[in-house]
Amino acid sequence: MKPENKLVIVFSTLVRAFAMSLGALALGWGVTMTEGLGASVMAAVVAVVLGELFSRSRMKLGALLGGASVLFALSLTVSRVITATEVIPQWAGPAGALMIAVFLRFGALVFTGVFVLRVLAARKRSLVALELAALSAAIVSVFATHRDGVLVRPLWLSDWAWSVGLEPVQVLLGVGVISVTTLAVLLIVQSRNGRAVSALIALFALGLLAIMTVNAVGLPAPQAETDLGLLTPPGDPPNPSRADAGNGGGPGDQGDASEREGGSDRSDAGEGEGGTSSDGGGDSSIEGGAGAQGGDGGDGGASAGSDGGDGGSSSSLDGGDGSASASGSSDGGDGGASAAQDGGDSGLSQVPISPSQSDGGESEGGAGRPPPRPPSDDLENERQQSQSQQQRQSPLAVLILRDDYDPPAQAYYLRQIAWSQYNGTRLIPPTRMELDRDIPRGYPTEAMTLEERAPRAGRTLVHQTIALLTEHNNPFGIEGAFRFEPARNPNPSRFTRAYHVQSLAQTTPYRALFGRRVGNPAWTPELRALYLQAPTDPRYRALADTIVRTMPAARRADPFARVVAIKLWLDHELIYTTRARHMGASDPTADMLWGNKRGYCVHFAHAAVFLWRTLGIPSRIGSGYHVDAQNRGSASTIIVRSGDGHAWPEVFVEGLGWVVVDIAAERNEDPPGQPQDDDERDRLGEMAREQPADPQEPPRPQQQTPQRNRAREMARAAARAFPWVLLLVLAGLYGVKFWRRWIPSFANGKPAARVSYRAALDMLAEAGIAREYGETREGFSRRMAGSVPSLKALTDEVQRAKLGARDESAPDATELRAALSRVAGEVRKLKPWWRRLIGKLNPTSWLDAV
Amino acid sequence: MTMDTPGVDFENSPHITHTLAPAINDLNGAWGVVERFRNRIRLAVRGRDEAIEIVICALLADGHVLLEDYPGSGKTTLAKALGDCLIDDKPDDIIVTFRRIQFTPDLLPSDVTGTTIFDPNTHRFFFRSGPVFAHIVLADEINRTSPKVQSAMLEAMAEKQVTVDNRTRKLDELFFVIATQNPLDLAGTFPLPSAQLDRFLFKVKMTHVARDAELEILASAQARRANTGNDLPRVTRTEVCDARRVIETQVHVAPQVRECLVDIAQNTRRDPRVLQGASTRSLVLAMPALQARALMNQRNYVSGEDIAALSGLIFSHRLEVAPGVESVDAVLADCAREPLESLARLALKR
Repeated sequence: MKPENKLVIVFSTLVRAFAMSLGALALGWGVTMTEGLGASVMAAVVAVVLGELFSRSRMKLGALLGGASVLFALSLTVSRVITATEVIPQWAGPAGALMIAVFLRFGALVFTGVFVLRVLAARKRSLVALELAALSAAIVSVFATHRDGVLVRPLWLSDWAWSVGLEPVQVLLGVGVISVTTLAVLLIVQSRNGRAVSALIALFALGLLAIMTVNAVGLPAPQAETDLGLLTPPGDPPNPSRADAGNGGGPGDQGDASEREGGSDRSDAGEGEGGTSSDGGGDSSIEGGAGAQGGDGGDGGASAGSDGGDGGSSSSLDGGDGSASASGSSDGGDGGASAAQDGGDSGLSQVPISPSQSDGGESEGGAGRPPPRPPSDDLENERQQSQSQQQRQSPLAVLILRDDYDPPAQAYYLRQIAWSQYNGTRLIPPTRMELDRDIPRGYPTEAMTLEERAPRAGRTLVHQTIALLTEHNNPFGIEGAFRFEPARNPNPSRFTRAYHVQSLAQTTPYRALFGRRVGNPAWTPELRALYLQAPTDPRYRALADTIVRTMPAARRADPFARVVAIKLWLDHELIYTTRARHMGASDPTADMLWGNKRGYCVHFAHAAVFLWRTLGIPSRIGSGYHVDAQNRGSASTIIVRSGDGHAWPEVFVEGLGWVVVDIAAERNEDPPGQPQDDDERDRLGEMAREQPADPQEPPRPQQQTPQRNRAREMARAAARAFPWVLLLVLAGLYGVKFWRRWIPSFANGKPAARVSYRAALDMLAEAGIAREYGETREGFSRRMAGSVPSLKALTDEVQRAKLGARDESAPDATELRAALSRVAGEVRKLKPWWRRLIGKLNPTSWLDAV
Repeated sequence: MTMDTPGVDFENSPHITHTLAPAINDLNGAWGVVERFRNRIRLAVRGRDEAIEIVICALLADGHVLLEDYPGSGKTTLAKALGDCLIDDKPDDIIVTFRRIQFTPDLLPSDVTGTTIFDPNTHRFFFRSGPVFAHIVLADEINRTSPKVQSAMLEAMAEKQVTVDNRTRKLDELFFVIATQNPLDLAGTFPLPSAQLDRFLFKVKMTHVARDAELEILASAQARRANTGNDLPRVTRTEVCDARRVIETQVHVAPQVRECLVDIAQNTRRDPRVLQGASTRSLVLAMPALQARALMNQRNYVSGEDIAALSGLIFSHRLEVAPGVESVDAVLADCAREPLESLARLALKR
């Protein structure tokens, strides 16, 4: 039936066996172990060979398929029997029995599949496609993980590639080329048609196109974190974020507010303690007094504890803070977010955080960080020492300012949430709906305007777009935000979410606030009382009074002057350090204020709010991010980093709303943060704006050698030229097509026969009719004699011109043209108009005219 | 209707021309010869146009034909019709127009070639010519006779001469053998060895006559018996010989055509399914056949079409294929495909 060359048969069987065992290997890789894989490979080879043999035998197709399925069922049963009965495990041991069973099962599975496919393909030509499809699907399944852009996914492959010094993508491309070539060879062997050359050329062009596209467009980058450095290496202590804020920024930006007052303390330890508060609160409160001292050393896991403890979404901010201070989590935002969820649950349900977690936090805190240093006055010294420790801060979000805005505080306060409700130990995010209605309680799914907004007076409308690089559980914006709107994510592989914010941001300078009244007259007395709740500890009141008494008499009655006085006192008295721990205390704020006076933003904010509230000034803690105005520079992009998490006290000024009055300790024991990387800011900003990054600066300069850059440049140039090249090629093809069609009108003499005949062949090729391989010219014209009888005249002329004697007379060009137009008319009747249109549009139809 | 009986009425003999036919010296004349053969034979043999073409082609190419067919399928009719077309314009010699030899196992070589006989009257030996001394010889069932007789016959075919008693006698220039053999009923036969098959230019496998042709045969039996068409023009022996010469010299063979033919032969030798490829002699024999076929298709040049049509007839009985290979024709088609394709591509080349 098929007088095929034996060599060809053996060769194609070998190739097929190889390809099929590869496919079996690919399918089985993740599913089974050595025995199963070995069985699969062997079964694939055997099945290909047997399939080839049996398909050539005289057995009926149905019998072959039936036999294969019977064999399959038999093997499965046997493999089950092996493990189900006791005889074989006793003889071969349980592991051996299992091995045999696996061997049988996978062998039978692969054998049946490959055998059936092979027999079907050999008997029914068209079903070769089925076999090829199964094979390619099996091979492709290895790279199924690529769909998310995880290109390095078969790790065994990319590890090997890296170890040899190759780029995994190149290796993958190579694998693709090899498998495509294998498939193509299989197809060609199958068809044995000489016309496969053009198909191969097309395949090659497609491959080239694919590679160029990859080079030009690039591959999806799934892990934005890695290449942007969002993940700091573990063990690298995260940066104490408040270094800038509390220290450098503090005196400068809050210089307006000048006031100081002694007060109570340890607001913050409360939150730390809150983690275990429900059960541990009692005993720790006893220690609380002593905890003033021991707090530092003791509560290494303050942040972790606080996260878990006071629950609610507030802890997201804690997390941001806490991670900055706790060494364990490398990513502030992530840590915050994840901890927030735990904390939220446990806090709301009053269930203590799981011991393991708090342990972990504490142990991390304890182990990851050197024991706290003794208080030292030599701050300069320390700062210089610590300056050497440059720590990397990973970006969490990108904020694009759509309106120009310069905050009077010289820093952008991005409020995410507010803590205004006093729970007996510390302030927590409001559980009562009437509190803080100027804070969004979730992400907008559509444009969302908050019920309460700051008045317009003294504020300016600022449009912002924020793209989050890590997950946050509450949106944030420049303080005074009142309208949130979801935005299209400019780059989903990098940003988790994007949204627009409109804020009425404060423009009134702090100086102008003196003499203003505090509190909102629209509040109910009950609501106002909620904003005034503070610890009952009399020391707070006493401290506040003491501070007020230091004020000039004329100013003493001015509530905002009191606010500033207390702020300045705290600025002066408190020492900023992220190593401060007040978790064990029943009132961590008091533990700090009347203890070692060391703490960080959360402690300070609690101290300020408690002192203000005892003086009858409605206040709360805002939490979110604090970005120094210097970091913005001239750009309109603000990068929020993991170190920017912050909590700050706020005062409600009548007619202006909530005003940030941050505490900036004059003394700082933490090392300063690293300067911002302006390039990175610009790059992220561009990305968030959906604009391409600067082409001069590839996104990963540190990973690219100049050679690679050049190669990439060249590839890019080639890719840019590709459409033009394609267009040129297309134009060329059409040009040739029309040339071949029109030249008979001008040809004379001997060549006329050839060009006329060629034009006739072109017409036939457009209709999808072509001479077969090995068919003679006369044979073709005889085959077409029924539908295109005029072809014969042209054929005879061209044959005479080519094969006849040299002194043959030249053909009559007019005759030829007449014959050609007859052919055109005959071809027109052959096919419907749409088929002819397709033929006319096909630029390569003339390639078939052979 | 034997011609060598004395006392024939020459004036009325239909086998002797009375007017001098114009000499054949160009292709038109050769074409006229072809046409005359065609018209006469087609009238006598219905439904066998293909075989008729092949036989005429072989006659003009100076080759012999082996017909392989079932009994009663018109082989003999065809051969006789061919003989009937010919006019012997050299009546002086001992060679007649047509002879038929029915081969049997007990036939002797002298039965074919002729023998020397002692004449007691003159006390001398004289040569009594055998049936090969004819222009057209029908060798019926050639595989039924012994190899000795076969070889005698084949020597005559190859050399156009007969050697009896050490004396070599020339046969006529136009010596044309149509041999037949029966593909069935092979018991007691002596199949021709491939070396002897090589002497035949064509081996033709005839097929059963189509239904319409068979009906026509039945309908026209009466007319054929009545010798209708007997007055159609015939061909003289000289004309055939001239036509052969004209065809060989005037039908153009392009070098690419020769390349194609040689490439096919080379491919048959290279093909692993073939034990013995086409011989060089077969190529030499093939050239006139191709030219004759070109003329018969009104061409003055040989084309790939001729090769495609004749390669099976020329080569199939010369190839020895490996055991297990069913069809020689398929092997030949595979071998011919690529050379034919490159010859066909020539047409579009500059």
